[in-house]
Amino acid sequence: MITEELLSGCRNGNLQEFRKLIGITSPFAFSVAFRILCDEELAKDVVQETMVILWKKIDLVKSPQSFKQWLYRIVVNKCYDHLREKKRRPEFSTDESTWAVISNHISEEQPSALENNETASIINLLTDRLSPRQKAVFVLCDLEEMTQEEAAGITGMSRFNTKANLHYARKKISDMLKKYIQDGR
Amino acid sequence: MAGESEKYDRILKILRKSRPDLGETDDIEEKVINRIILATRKVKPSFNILEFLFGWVYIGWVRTGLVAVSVLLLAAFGYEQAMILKRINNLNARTGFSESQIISGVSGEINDKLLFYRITEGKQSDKPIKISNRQLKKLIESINELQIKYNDLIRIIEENPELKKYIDEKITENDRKKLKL
Repeated sequence: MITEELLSGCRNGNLQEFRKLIGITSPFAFSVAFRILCDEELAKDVVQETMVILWKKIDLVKSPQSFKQWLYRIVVNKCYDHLREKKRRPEFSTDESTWAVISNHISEEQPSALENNETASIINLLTDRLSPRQKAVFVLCDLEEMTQEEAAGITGMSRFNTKANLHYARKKISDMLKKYIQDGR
Repeated sequence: MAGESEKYDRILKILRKSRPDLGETDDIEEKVINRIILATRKVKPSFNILEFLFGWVYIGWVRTGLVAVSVLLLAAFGYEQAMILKRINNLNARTGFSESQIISGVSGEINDKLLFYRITEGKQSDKPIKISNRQLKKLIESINELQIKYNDLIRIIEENPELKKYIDEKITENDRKKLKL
C-alpha cells in the first residue's frame, strides 16, 4: 500500500523507504512491461529504469492516488522506446507450436496458470501485428483490467483514440484466433 | 469449437490468470539502489578527486595531513604567481612611463642616452640603443622644435640690446663663479 508517509520519506531522500516502494511497485510495473514487451530481461530493465526515474522525479508525485497512473505512464513510455527499437528488427514468424499450446489451453475446462516464457510467447504471437499503442491499450485494458479512462490517462491518448485502438486490437486478435485455431488445431 | 468471442474470452482469462512472476524483488532493489548511489557520486566530482588522489592512504591523520600540505602548497603557488604577475605589471607601467618621458621631451635616462648618442654620432656608445620608428620621429620633432625655439630666443635677444647686455653680464658672472670653483 502506497501511503503519503512512504512517499514523503522518499522525497526526503530516505533510501530505506524507497526500497519499500520498489518492493511494492516493481511487481506491477514488471507485469505491464512484461506483457507489452514479452521479454523477461527487457521487462526487468524497464522496471529498473522506471525506478531510477521514480527516485529522481519523486517530488512531482503529488499524492498516493495519482502515483499508480504516473508510474504506469513511465513504464509504458519506456516500453514504447523498446518496441520502436524492436520494430526496426522484426522477428515475427508464425509459430505452429505456440498456436497448438493456445488451442490446448482454450479447450481445457480449468486452464492452469502459465509460466513466464509461455505467457510471453502467447502474448507475443497474439499482439505481434498490433501497433505499440494498440498493444499498450490491449495490455492495460484487457490484461491488467484497467478502465479505458485509466488507460487513456496512462498512454496520453484521448478516450476516443483509446477506445478505437482497443477495438482494432481486439479485432486483430480475434481474427488471428479465428484463422489459426479454427484450422483444426 | 467455441465461438470467436468465447475463444477470445478464454484466452484472456488464461492470460489474466497467468500474471508474470517477477520473483524476489531484492535483486532489482539492489541494482536500482546501486544505480542511484552511482548517480549521486557523479554529482560530487570534488569528493571523487580527493578520494582518487589520497584514497591509497589508509591512516586518517596521514591522509588529512597530506590534504592539508597539498592545499598549503597550492596556496603558496597561487601567491607566488600573483606576485610575479604584479611585478610584470609594474615593469610594464615603468616602460610606459619612460616612453612618455621621451615623447614629452622631459629628461630621463633613456632620453639622455639618446641625446648623447646623437651628439657623439654613435662613436662614444658602448652598446647599441634600439628605438622604434615612432620614438625616433618624436625625437626628431622635439629637436626641431627646440631648434626653432632656440632661433626665436636668439632673435629676441639680438633685437633687445638691454636684454643682450643683461645676459652677457650673467654669463660673465657665471664664468667667474666657475673659475673660482
